[in-house]
Amino acid sequence: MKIEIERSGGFAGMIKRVKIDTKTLPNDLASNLEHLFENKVNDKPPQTMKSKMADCYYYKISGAIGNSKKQIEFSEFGADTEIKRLVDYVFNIKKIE
Amino acid sequence: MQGKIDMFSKQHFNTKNRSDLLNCTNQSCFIIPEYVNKKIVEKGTKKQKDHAWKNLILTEQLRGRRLVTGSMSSMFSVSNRLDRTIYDAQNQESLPGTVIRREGGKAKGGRTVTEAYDYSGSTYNFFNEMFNRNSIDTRGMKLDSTVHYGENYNNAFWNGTQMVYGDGDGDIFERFTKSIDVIGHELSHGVTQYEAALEYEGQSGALNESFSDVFGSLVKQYLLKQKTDKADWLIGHGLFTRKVEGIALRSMKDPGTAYDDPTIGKDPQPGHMKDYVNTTSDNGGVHINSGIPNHAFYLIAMELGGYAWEKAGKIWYIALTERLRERSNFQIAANVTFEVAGSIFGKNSIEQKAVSGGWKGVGLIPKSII
Repeated sequence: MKIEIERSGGFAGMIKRVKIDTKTLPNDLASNLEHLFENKVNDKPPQTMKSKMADCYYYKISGAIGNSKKQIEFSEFGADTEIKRLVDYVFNIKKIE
Repeated sequence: MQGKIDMFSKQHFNTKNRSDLLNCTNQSCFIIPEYVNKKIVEKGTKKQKDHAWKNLILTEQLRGRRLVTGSMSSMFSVSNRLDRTIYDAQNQESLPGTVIRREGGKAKGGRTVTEAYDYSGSTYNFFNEMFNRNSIDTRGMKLDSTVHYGENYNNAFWNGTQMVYGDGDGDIFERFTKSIDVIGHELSHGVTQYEAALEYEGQSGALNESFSDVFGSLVKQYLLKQKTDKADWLIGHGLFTRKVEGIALRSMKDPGTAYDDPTIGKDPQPGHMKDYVNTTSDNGGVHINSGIPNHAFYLIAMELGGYAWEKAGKIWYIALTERLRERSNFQIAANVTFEVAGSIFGKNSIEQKAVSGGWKGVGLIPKSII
């Protein structure tokens, strides 16, 4: 499964995108990420909050399950711990590569 | 995730009917009805009154109504003194953290704590001395800051009630308290929240960001007693480590030139409407397109010379606190600042012409709205 994670916002306003094929991840992480994506993302259009906290980070995770493309958006304070941990982990992997 | 609102944004709503907050459709809405807040204001303890008053202020802003203090201000206590508290999050993400330093307390906790304390004081003093403003909310709101937030956290933000600063990862970023304009920037988000409440997306969001950059820069210039020709007009100068090929995060003087680094990329800011960036990232590019009004302010300030806060800064402050609204866009900002300049300094004055020229310099023509 191919997933793209984008982080934008923050004081610096930098946009960081990473693309990852879950096949390249350790099995447990790949499984967690795919499970997360399949269960946390729904078919409704992404929710974006009209009023937002200044300079916090915003994330978009997008990917395809079969023929269906899905996307989830959230602020760093709108994500549960599990999602944030996975996102940070993916970013760190890409940083090391 | 759907239907959730995080607790830090309880004063902000994603509701289509903004005039009726009681009909918030989100099951996690935290808002107390207005009539309850008003009752607390009348009958509650001091602490309860303060909280209720804050809620009323914020709901007034969300409803697009200017804050009206006249009839209610006599019911509340107002502090006329600077009141800072610095907290240490100890590299966790729980706010506010442990109290390290209170107002008037001894300097301790290291340079990060000292910077947060000193620079928030400088920002308060700037707004107070220049614009007679008593803190973020005009009522002596406490200035709370948390430092050492998260681990290697490359960011600083305003969460609606306080400022939060990360230490940086030491690879790309230094600590975020290092630059006074960062602290001025974050506090200014608070001012905007209590005034125009510019919606944080698209052009209104870019204006929100720009006002914070403008006042952040003015706070620095004020502290250093710099005139326009001596100011560096940089935002976040000193935040990058030496490994990064960049001098700052943003340049009001020359948007798009602050950094160009193989790891973090190039400064994406435009300085003219012809280069406006249409994007869904960064809430519609609020940190990107802020380069346009930033540059307009720079051009106006340079044209007028002297200390930038005296004329250009004053025009910007009045525009933010008396004229702009939540969804004001760049054109409206151009029109409003043009009118404000005329009101203060006279129609066809040097100052009004400078404002007109500054906006034209970024591709916007102010229109008279009177």
